[in-house]
Amino acid sequence: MTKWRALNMKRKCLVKYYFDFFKRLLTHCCQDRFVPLWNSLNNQWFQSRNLLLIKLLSERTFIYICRVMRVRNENKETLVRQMALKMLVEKGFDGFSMQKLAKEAGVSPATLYIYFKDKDDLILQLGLTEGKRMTEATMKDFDPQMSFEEGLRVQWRNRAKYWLENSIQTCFFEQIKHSPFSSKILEAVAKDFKDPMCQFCEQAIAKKELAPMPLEVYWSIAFAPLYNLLRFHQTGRSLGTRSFVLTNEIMDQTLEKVIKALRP
Amino acid sequence: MNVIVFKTNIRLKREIKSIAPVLNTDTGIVRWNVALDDIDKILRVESDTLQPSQIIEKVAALGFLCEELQD
Repeated sequence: MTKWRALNMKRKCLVKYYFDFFKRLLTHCCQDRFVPLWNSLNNQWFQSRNLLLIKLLSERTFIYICRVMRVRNENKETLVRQMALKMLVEKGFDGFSMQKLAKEAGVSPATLYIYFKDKDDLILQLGLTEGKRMTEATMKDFDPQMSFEEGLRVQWRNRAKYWLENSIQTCFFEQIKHSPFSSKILEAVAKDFKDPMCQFCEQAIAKKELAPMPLEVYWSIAFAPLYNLLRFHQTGRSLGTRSFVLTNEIMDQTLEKVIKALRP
Repeated sequence: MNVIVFKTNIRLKREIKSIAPVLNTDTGIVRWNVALDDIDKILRVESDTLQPSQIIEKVAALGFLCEELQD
């Protein structure tokens, strides 16, 4: 009896020792994702009861497990963000709740609150991330040193591509524009756009490829026609009951007229 | 940074104002907020040192129900 009790005590100490070691390892590997990761692993180990397995696991294997679970967690985070965007667009900001999102995405509300402070923080974070993605897509292969015609063509191509491939995100941005989040998010998005675009326009004016004009006049001619065409394309109709599909020819034709209009 | 999430019965903004002095002065709490739009009235605390039970004690002492929201 005494021998058995002694063995049990030794086992408990060993388990505690390994747990502390693994806990520190996990904290080091996973940083802010520690809590949900540790909770799920914790249960696994307590249920396993195989002391030999714990002893045999090398540090390297354990780090591998941490990394695999961390990747799985990141996939979950992507799914949550995608789901959140979909729900925000479908139900609007007011109809959206963290609890509903948790249910749809298959995570617990507690997990959701680890990544986002509250609903407003989620919307803000989504807006900033998607805004960054949109800026990157728009600025792809664009150089402010390009000729005005070439540069504007690249801009039109990039913006149209992003708009057509990201319909949910574009709806989301429309919602943001008419919400209390507009100033914070649009300010952050504009920051990355402003400098290269300003440089591009100043160069074009200096090269006499672009006539000087107020910013709003410029934008209404340079970009508004494109967004209008995209809106027509999205609904499948233009004016009245006229059906419409956006083609490269129509885009090129419109762009040609735009460049002509902006020339000095 | 550990994030701990609690379910509470804090319903109003003035109730948040009443717990603010205690939570703000606690050196263990880096950041905290209450999500009133959630049906569970979530209290979210970021802390490196505090245990959930300690936070539950503090909030309970202020007269509110507080329980840790499990994963």
